[in-house]
Amino acid sequence: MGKAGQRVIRGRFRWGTGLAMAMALLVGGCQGGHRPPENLQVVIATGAGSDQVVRSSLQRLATQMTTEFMSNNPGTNLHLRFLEEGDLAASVRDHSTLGAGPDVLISRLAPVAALSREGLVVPSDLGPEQLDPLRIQFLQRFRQGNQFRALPFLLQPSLACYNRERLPKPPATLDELVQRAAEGARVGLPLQMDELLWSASGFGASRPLLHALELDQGTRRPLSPIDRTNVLAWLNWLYRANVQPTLQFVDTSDGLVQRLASRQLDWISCNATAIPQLRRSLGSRLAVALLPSGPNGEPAQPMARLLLLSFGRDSTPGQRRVAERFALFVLNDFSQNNLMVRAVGNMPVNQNVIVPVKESPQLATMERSLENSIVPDFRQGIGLRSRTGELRLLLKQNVYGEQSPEKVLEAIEALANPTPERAP
Amino acid sequence: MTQLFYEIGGWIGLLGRGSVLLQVLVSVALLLGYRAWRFRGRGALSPWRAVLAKLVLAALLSLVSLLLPKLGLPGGLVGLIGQLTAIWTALSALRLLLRRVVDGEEVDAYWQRAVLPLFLVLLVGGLIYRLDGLEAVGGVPVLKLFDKNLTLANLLLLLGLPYFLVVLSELPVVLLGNLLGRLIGMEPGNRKALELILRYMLIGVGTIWLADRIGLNSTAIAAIAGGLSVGLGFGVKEVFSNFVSGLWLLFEGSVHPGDVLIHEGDICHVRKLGLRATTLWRDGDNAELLVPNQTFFTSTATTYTGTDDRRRGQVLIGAGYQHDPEQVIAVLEEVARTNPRVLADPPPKVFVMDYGASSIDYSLRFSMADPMTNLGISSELRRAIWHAFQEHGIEIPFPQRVVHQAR
Repeated sequence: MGKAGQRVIRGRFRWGTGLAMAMALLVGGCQGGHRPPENLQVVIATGAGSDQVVRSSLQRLATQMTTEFMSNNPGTNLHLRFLEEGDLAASVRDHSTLGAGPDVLISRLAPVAALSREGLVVPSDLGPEQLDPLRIQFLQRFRQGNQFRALPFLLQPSLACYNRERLPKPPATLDELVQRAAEGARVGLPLQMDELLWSASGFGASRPLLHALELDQGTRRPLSPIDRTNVLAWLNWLYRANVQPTLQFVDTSDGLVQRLASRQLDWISCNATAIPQLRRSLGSRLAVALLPSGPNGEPAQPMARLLLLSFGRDSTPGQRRVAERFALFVLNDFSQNNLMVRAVGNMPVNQNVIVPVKESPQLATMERSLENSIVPDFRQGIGLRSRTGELRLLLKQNVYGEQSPEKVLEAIEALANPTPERAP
Repeated sequence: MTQLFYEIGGWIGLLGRGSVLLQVLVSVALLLGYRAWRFRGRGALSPWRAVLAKLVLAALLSLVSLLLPKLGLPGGLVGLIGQLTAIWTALSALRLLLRRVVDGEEVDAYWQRAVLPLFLVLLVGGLIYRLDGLEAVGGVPVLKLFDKNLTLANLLLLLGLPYFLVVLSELPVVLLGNLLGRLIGMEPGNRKALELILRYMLIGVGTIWLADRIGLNSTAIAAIAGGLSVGLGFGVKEVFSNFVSGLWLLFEGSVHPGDVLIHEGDICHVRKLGLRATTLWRDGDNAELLVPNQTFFTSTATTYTGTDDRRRGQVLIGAGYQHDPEQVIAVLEEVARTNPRVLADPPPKVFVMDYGASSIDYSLRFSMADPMTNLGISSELRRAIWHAFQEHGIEIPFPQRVVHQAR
């Protein structure tokens, strides 16, 4: 080999040695006297719908929250990532294969439940001495031994949103709702089971359905004869309701919100997080109310959305400590109160926070809705979510008369008790 | 900018995780091991052996990425580096294959200009995409432009897209031109003109898309257009005039790449019709001339490739008065007919041009298919005429001077 070739090789080795030394310094530096900042990846997927303004205001709020945390905790850097809820599980899986999974996740229940089953989020080590003073609602639902698989963060109740110019008084019962539709009010209902379940509660069918659709065979409860009668009554009501030309079923709740905002509808069932978007479109014409009660006067029991805080599996012990400090920060009285006031549509899980129901009728309605709401646990949440598509199709076939309510009920039962090959 | 460094700080923070650090160290060790194996105590590998060696490296990285999860450790980063190595190996093999069918220098030039920069973009983009998400990093605002935040993604597009538009538009446009040429039997000159127009369109559309992407609103575009019009009026008038002339020439079809024309008395071949100037090749001294496009637009041009590609040439020759012109004409026509490069149709013709001082002057006129070959064919004919005249005893007279010496 010529001298030139040897020079090239020496050059390459110098490059390699330099790189190795740089790596060693980098790694060594991390353990040296000067402590480098602890970097945390925080992923937020709140499923705020398709409204860009709502999402950007949420992002501003989250950024502000993390900035406040970092100013109180020098030496910590929180890196926020905002994802679509549908992309969350895939993104966490993908990053976890690199060892670069997030340290903290803020998301609705279903994706966290899926990630928890895969072991990509791990239980929190926070104990009663840290959590008890915060009096967190629904915390026990996520207990696993002495740990918590996730921590409740915020509640997003379901309501009735309507245009008070078109409907001076909201319907109080399901019958009244259909009656108003018959009189010309344009009513919209979603075809998503979790968003429509409030209407089943009036027939006593919502909780049996939730239990029957659980994925876990051990806790799943098949429908009893009484439950079947109740579910059938509800399916019949849905079919009869759709006979009204001014009552329409829409595939998603986002679709409903957009239709009310553009004044194609007068009354919809909505999640409280849609209020800012609707307020911008309808102004003072927007009003919110409790969802209509059942035929026998039972209050509607809507499913409230629950945002959860959970922890990734790839964190170092240092990152985990900061992640838990961050969780305690956003759950404390100050932050929860702040979030309730500034993130419209979100209610605190910290029961120390006093909701100003007298000053704000909107908050009062949300508070009352929560009193009757069903907040699912991991099993129920994932059971419904994993069958969203099939259930939507069955509901659609029911309301459009393609299948009789009896057939739809049988199909729901078959879906709830899958053969091993069909199990999701 | 601060936010960008903040993001980068987050990636460095990932190295604090043992599992990530282990993957980085394993990958670096394998890459360094490969370099050491390849260069220690052995001569340079043949290109195909080098490809094979890289393939083994990629397979080894992929194998490690599969083994790490078996030990309960993530191996995706090693797998990603393995995938990038495999892509690089495939590109190296493609380069070797292309060198077999296309001119090697052209392949190397395109490789340097297009493939290497693209691979670099893929490498950096791939790592960022997997570690952090392109949207998160690309959305970092870096500076203000027209009261709008210019994000990192838009800044990189602004800097890189024009380069890639110019470089990468070449190959697909040539391929499309070739396809159209074959499908509808387009002439080479027209095909090249079409290719150039398509390329300009591609670059134009890309530029407009870029302006829209970085958020240039109509006011900003109007401001730029206003500034440009002042600039065009003073500074870059000639450039703009040449550009418009070039486009006009292409649309009009009066000058195409491939044409043969006379420029300042020399016959030239049009090689390229550029944005500002046309490149001509002068056969006489193998020179390339860069002629501003507006020259063809504003002055007369003589072309041999307008309606057809034929050119007529002539050779002037004198023969002695004692020879019958019919015989001379027959010999000259026969000479022309036997030259394979002289076209049979139209047939060569010989004319008696003049009764000169010492000879009858003839003109042999002939046609050729390639206008650039006039000098070569004329030379061949003159040589053949000399031999034919020798054979037929025909004298080529020349003036002679008789010097009388005074006694």
